[in-house]
Amino acid sequence: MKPGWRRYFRFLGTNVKGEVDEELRFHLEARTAEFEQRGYSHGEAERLAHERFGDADGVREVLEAHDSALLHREQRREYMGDLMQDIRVSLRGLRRTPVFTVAVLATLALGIGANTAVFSVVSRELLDPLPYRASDRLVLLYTGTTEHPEGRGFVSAKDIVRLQRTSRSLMDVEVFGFYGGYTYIGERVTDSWAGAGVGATFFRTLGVTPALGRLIDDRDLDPAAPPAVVLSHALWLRAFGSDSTIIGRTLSLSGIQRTVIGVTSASFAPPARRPELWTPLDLRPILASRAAENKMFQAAARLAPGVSVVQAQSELNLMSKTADTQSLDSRAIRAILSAVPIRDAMVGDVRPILLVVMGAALLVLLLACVNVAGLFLARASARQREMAVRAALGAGRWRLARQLVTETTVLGVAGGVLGLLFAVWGKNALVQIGGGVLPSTGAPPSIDASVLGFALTLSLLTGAVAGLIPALLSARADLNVTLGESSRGSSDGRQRTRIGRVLVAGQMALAIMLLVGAGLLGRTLFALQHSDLGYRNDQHVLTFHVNLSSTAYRSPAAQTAFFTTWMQRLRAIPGVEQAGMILISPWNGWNYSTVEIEGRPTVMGDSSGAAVAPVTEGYFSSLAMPLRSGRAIAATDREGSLPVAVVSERFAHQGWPTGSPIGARIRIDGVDSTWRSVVGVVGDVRESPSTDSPPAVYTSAWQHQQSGYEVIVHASGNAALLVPTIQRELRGIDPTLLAGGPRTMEDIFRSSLASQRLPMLFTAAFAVLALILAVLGMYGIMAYAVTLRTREIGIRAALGGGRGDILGLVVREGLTTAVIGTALGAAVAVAATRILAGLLYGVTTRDPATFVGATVVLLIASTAACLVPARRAMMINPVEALRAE
Amino acid sequence: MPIGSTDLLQGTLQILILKALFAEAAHGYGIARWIEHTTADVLRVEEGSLYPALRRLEDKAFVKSDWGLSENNRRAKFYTLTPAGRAYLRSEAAAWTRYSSAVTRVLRAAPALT
Repeated sequence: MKPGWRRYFRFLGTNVKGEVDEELRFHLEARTAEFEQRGYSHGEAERLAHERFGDADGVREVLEAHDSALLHREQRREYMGDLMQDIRVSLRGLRRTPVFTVAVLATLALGIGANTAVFSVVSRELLDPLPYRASDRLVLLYTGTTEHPEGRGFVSAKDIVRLQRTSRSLMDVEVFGFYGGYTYIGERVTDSWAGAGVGATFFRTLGVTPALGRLIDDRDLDPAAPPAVVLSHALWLRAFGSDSTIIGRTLSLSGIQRTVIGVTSASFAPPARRPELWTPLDLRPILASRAAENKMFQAAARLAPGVSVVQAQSELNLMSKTADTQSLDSRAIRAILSAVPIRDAMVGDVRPILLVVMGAALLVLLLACVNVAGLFLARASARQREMAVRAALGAGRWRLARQLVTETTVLGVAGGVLGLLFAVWGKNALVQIGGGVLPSTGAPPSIDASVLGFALTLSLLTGAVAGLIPALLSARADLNVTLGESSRGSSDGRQRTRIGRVLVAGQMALAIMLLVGAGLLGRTLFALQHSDLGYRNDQHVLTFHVNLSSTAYRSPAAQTAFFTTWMQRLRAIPGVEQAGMILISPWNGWNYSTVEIEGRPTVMGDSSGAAVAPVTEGYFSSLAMPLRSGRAIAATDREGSLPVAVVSERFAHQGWPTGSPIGARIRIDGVDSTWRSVVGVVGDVRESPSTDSPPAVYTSAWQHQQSGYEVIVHASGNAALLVPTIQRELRGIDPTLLAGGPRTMEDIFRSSLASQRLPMLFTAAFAVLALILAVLGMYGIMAYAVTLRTREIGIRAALGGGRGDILGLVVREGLTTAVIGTALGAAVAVAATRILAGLLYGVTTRDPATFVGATVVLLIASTAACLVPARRAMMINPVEALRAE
Repeated sequence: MPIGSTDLLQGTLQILILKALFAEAAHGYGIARWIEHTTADVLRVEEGSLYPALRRLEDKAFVKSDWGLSENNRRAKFYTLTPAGRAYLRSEAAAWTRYSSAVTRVLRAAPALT
């Protein structure tokens, strides 16, 4: 192979045109000279030479085209050859330093892997199109209020039908969410399944295709048609082993024989909750009943052609306003319907969470990048002589820089490949932890082309940036000086240390940002876990639901008889301290109604009305809700006795700011026209820590009988252990019944925090990673600094510097760097934590304790990282140090 | 009578060039001169086609080129036969000889032409 510079400069100044011209001119001139010798005049000789040559211009063109094509080919080959050589040299160098290589690879693999995993989830949840037909035209409908237009309440049958009839901006308005549990009684098993009632056009509007049979349509809403059911793919798999003969079979679901007409495709994920089966829902009978205005349905619609969401919303606003004058409902509520684009509705809550996790992951990668740059800087110094020698042999500065960048890029790509493996595992973990939070859960996201592209881009970028920093610095190094003398103690080494310290400060700054973020989210989780919801939420409380749908319990009397027996038998189970029932529990979503106080012109309740729930005796005490005054709902509050109600503290305060509500009478819209006497006041409860407690009214379940309840059991021990006994007792009364969805309150509370736990866990994991990387970075640069200054330290020791002084010198130097970096990072964090604001609870974005705590953790870790090289410095033997040079 | 390049088969020109370089390296003009001289001006190369032919030979790695100095100290591009070019020339020369002697035998066959 030719010496470096000739290989490198061979093409410099290559002039294809000139060379071709010169070659041909030589020919013509030689021929002219020949003719002149034969006696022709110069002019004549020239003419003859040209004649003899033929089409000189044509030939010139052909040659130029040929030669420049050849030149390009060779340049490319040369470049690829250099690249291959660089890669070979890199691999050789990396093999020589396995510990270094593994450290860098692990750092990059973690950084790139974490980002790829998070990106695969972000890509699917936020970027991929939703699996519905023309999903960008789909909206979900909600009930908000004038005060809280962003409210996400369900909508009433009346609103849905009115929109179907009159809306010009919305088409295909359809109900799809009327949720309820179904008790399945099979030959061998009894099970409880989550179901949803849907309108005739729902599946067609969303463009859902069945895996088997057909989906619900107009035919199934015909009152004469046999009751139908559509199974989800998951349920079909789980309960029926994907039996394809299921179509046409009848299943006993909550006492009704339903014919299976179809199974949804495996990929279908409904836009809100995830029922396991769907039944046809006809709004017409509901419209005629007293439940017409109950806001208990989810509805979807499609924007009419050419209509924007904003236009649709203004039509809804107008309709809500005109509705005001017509219904009692509107006097106080001033409810407005809102149309929310389906993606916003589905991922609106998840977007900030995922973006925070993605941001944290990117910070870690940036830190990893700076970390690797620092490692290479130290390594570049160790290889300074090699580089200087190569430079002296003619390798250009750019060529040497390229060598370094090639090395880091090779590592970046290798790290990226390892990172992909890590990402495959990581994304599954992410989905597992975030399962309840991510809208399109089910299968974990795939590593598709866009994710691969993302990983490759990150790998190349990371490699290039990590290499460019030391490469540019090496280019600045004065090679003559390096060759002429040892690099130790030279100004060049000092400069490197300084730049290394800048890199460490950068790592500290990034680490403190992640630590602060994790700290704030951690404190949020802690505050949430210890927040008082107003009721007991530990493992001693069990909830489940019991639904009487079969024909045996048609009459309210039969229902009352059953539930009376049931409560007696339940309370008799050993280990059961107390038990009660409620129609729909707060954590499953309150039912809201307007409440009228006798003798007052206005209805009670703030903008969205009051939460209303029928309960039995034992409900308050099972949940340890404190009774503030009067009495609780009692077993004697029966049909025929005085209609009673217990109100919450908040309701009492709003209705009777100074006096007592006991003895006053209230009437609840949408339930009946009965005036109920307030007999007691209980403590407020909240659905979740982040929501406010609404004013609430509890009526006696016995005075307003329903066919299904949520049961609350307070046990002396772990309530979950009682489930088999409870099931047995229930079947003892009626073998077709089942306690559906048994969960302890602890479990319910825990999963309600999933959306806070997800970003917290990941930010914490990334913060720990960042801390480790930053500490290693600090250790690396201080160890390097000590090595560089062996001689200086030796002299200090020889001149009588105490060991403590030397230790202090090194630690002080390291800590100064750490403090500067931390201060800078904290300053950035003060501004940056604002993006977390929406995710925080019980802590401000500038929480001093978190900032101080994170700083202390980082500085202690940094000090520890400095101590190891500082101890080595302390042990330096002055005689050896000086002789070593 | 000189034969124009239109009559000179493409492959023939390549063989002439390779043979011209057989003894020593030469520039384009030298190659043209050598051919004229050796064939006593019977085969006169059209010089314009000489250079594209040289490029083709270079592409096939039968010759390689370097800038050097001519007899009268002018910069000129010299072409050298490579070992591959040498081997190619030998095989082509043998084929050519077989071919021409066969044609010669045909022409000499009775009855005589004149």
